[in-house]
Amino acid sequence: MRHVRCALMGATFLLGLAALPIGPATTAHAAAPIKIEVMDWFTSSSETAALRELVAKVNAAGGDWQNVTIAGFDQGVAAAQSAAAGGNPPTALQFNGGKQFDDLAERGLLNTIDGVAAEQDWTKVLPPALGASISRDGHYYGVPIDDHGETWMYTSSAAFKKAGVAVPTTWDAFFPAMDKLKAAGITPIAWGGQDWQEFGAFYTVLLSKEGPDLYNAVFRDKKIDAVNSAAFKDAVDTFGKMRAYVDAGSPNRNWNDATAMLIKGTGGVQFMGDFAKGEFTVAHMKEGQDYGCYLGLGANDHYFMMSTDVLIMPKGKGADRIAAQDLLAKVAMSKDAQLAFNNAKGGVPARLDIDSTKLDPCARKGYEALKVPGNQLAGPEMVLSADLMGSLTDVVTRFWSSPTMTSDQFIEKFAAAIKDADD
Amino acid sequence: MSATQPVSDVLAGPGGTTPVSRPRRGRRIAWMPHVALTPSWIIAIVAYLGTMAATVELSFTRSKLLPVFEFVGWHQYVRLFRSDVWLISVGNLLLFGVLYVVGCLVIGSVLAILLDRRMRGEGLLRTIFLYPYALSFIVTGIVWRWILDPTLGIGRSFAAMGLPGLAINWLGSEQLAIYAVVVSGIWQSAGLVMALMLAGLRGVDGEIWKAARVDGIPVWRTYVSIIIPQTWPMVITSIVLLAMSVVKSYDLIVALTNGGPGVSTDVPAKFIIDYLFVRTNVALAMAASTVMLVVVVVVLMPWIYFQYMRKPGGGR
Amino acid sequence: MSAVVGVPTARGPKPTRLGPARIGLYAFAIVSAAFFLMPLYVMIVTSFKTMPEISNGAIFALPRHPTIAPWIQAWSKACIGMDCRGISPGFWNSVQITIPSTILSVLLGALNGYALSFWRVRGSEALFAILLIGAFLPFQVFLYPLLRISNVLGLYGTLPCVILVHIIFGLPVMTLMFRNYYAGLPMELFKAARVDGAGFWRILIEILLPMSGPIGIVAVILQVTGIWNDFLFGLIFAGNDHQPMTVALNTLVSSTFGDKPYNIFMAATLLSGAVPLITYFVSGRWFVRGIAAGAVKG
Repeated sequence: MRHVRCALMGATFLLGLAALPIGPATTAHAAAPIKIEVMDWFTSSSETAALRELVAKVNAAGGDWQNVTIAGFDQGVAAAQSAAAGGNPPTALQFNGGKQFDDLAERGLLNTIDGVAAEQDWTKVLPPALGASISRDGHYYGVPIDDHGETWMYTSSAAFKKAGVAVPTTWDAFFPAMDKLKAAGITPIAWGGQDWQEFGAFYTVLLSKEGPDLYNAVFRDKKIDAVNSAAFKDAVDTFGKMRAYVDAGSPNRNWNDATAMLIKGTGGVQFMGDFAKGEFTVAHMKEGQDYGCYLGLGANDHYFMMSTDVLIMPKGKGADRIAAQDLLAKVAMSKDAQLAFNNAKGGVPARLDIDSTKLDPCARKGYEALKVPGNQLAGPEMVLSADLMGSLTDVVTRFWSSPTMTSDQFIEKFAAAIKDADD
Repeated sequence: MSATQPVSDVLAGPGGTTPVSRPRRGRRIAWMPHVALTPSWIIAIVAYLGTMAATVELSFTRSKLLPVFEFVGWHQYVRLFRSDVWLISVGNLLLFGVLYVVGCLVIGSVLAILLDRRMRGEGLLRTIFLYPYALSFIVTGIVWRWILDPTLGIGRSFAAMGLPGLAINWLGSEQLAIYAVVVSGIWQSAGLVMALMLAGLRGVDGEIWKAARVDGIPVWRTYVSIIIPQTWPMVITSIVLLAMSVVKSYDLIVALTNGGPGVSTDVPAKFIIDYLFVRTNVALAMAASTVMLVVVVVVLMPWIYFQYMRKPGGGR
Repeated sequence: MSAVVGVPTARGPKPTRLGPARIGLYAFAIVSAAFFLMPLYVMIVTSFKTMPEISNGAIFALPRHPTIAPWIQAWSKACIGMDCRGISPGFWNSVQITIPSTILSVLLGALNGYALSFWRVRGSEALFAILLIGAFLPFQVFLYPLLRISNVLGLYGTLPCVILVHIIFGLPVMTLMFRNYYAGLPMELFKAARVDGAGFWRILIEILLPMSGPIGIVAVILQVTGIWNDFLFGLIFAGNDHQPMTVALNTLVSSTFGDKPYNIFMAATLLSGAVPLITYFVSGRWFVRGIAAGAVKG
């Protein structure tokens, strides 16, 4: 869901963590179920269902999962710290793969998961970019429990049928189709007017219209030249053009409310991460029949822009901490758990050696694409600091909500944000 | 002097009553008062001065998530003032602050004058005007967000009444959203000014009214040129109370617009919280805090000095 | 001591007969009252509507099929994250936070006010100045270091932590109120007590506290409503287990579960506003006096 949020959880947790006395954790094998305390912010219905699958697997393997859910993290600044207070951080914490736990790893506040990683041969089974996002200097610090495709396009069959127009498969066909939807009284683009969603829609346009090289040059390599290129401007123009196809209710709308528009047939398309799929499933809608899912639009619709939820393992007191962390890592990365978790949550397994026939049609589409090494892209979260990501999000959301702002101003601000970033 | 010095007075300052030079009995040192003030000293030194100092210090470092004492000079300040989001949020605070304070003062005063005109049902009206002040800004924000909801709120009702011109999407517009914040803020706080001003009006000598009537001065002129100027302390008190909530404004923004659309309703308090916890750039957040600290202190110091710190006898 | 003055009766101009001006005044009063009441009205009617009625009807319409289901949902069933206990846990958290915070901050304020106004204490002016400045600064200035301190002390995310924070930030205004109130009391009382050999605490407990009723009530009202309505401190310092009602409310309305149940949101909003509203209605006279009485001193 909103991946940015985890940074805030992380931040606050970290504040707590850093105050803890860091003692050597000793390994001990307890006969009784090993208590595993996990702090996460899985709160939506599909997330909760996914979590239950994982909990069941861990408990079956001899664990005793105790969940600490953080709710309300949008502004829920410091909630994660409560568990850290008193000098005893939980066994594991949910984070996102990427730069978010740099500070933690650098300061030696985390246990590595190298043992389990070697045993399960993570280097081989994980997409390299995903592996890089959870490791530092050759050590693994996070257990990836899923792999989310960031740049999906969903379509409502009912809406397109009503408008009497085919679902566009190229960018050339996109806006004419939107016009038809509009003429039929449908909101062409079901838009969630929150900054992170707008940011997501922007990089979806960038990737699927201009291709992975430009995306990588801008987001991963932070090349100012790329930002000043004609192709980037074209992406900005295209993104800006979408403003004419949303409704008055879009500002501040949640992503799932936007998905609901597609389900009801009042909205035509939605650009969103793969977790939106869960909403269709809950509404008993069939892929291909009632709704469509596409990995982007146009010629580049086979690139899989990744983001991942990871469990990190803070150091702390307690004799069986290491044992608990190992158990958790082992189970969470097992094929069974990856499959069960992601089928419920909407993502695809982080490891690539799983039988894709057990996935639903949309996930299979994504997973097959992901298996091709050339299709794997590190998502913004993996390559940007929270700070820079925030600044870029500001630029995108401002551009979106001020129709008077030109593409050139967008580009200028975007470039300035990259130059001003501290890293 | 009466034995009553409640809130407004407390905030406006009671003229010359500085920590009183009470007579001491003999030369015995009364150490108990020192003991009694110890908790407050600890709070003042640790929680106020200490944290302020730490905030300033951190603003010169490159701390991200955790405090790092590697100093980078004015770097964060340079970045802060190059950030147009920060400048926008400061501008928003000024715009919101001025409109909110002026709006509350005007509406509150008008309501106070209204009630001063010996209205029937004064008690009821007073209750109605003031109740929003008892509510939190979170509640205020949520209610107004619902009322201004473009698809289900008041806009739709206006449209249904055949007044689509009034169906403005306040919260969806970069230009208008800040005014929605102002309106809801005024709704919440105008009653406060009403209560203060009403007390001020009632405190005016009744003889003035007689004199004004004898001279044939119209009622409205009497208010404008004679009565209102006499309630100056209440006006000041109102401004101070309102200004305090402006500087601290965070809750209302979070509940009503969450800073959007775009960053059009961002305010410094939200900017700081975002950088502290979401964007994990503690040093930048601390630089922004330090700027607020300096501005508030510079503006307030002379005022505080004259209100509270003058020696006895400097009163009226 | 009867002397905490309320709003005195109107001394303004005598009402003229019911002329056009007078009618205009009443019309204006009614329009203003309607503006102030409108949100409350909307909250109440919405909270009794069903969702279909909300999506299809006007915001001002009365509920056609009134239901209390949204209230039950809001109180004890609505989901906030994985926790489907409504906002009642937030209510009890707020109670647990508000009561001790209010009592302790008022007592500390009284103690400070007394020490500052009756005793010559070296450095008291400096203390007073620090507290005053603190009263006006945005909380963000103190927030992060305070968070770090609470972590180092192992207090973070506990009930005492958020209570302590409320005491810290309530201290300036409480001190100011009591200091100025006591400064207005006749010095002779104090002198006489000293002559009788009464000590610091005896004077406070036996003489001043019994006289502090009026200011005490005002202080309590101010703190109860202020602390109950707090959002930021609860959010940051209370930790996951003690989030006050304001935070629970904001989480509820921004959560992403299916369609937005506005009726439940409004019921939850009313429930969260209930305590300060009741405080205000019950103690309305004191509430107004607290804010207003300053103007009529002397």
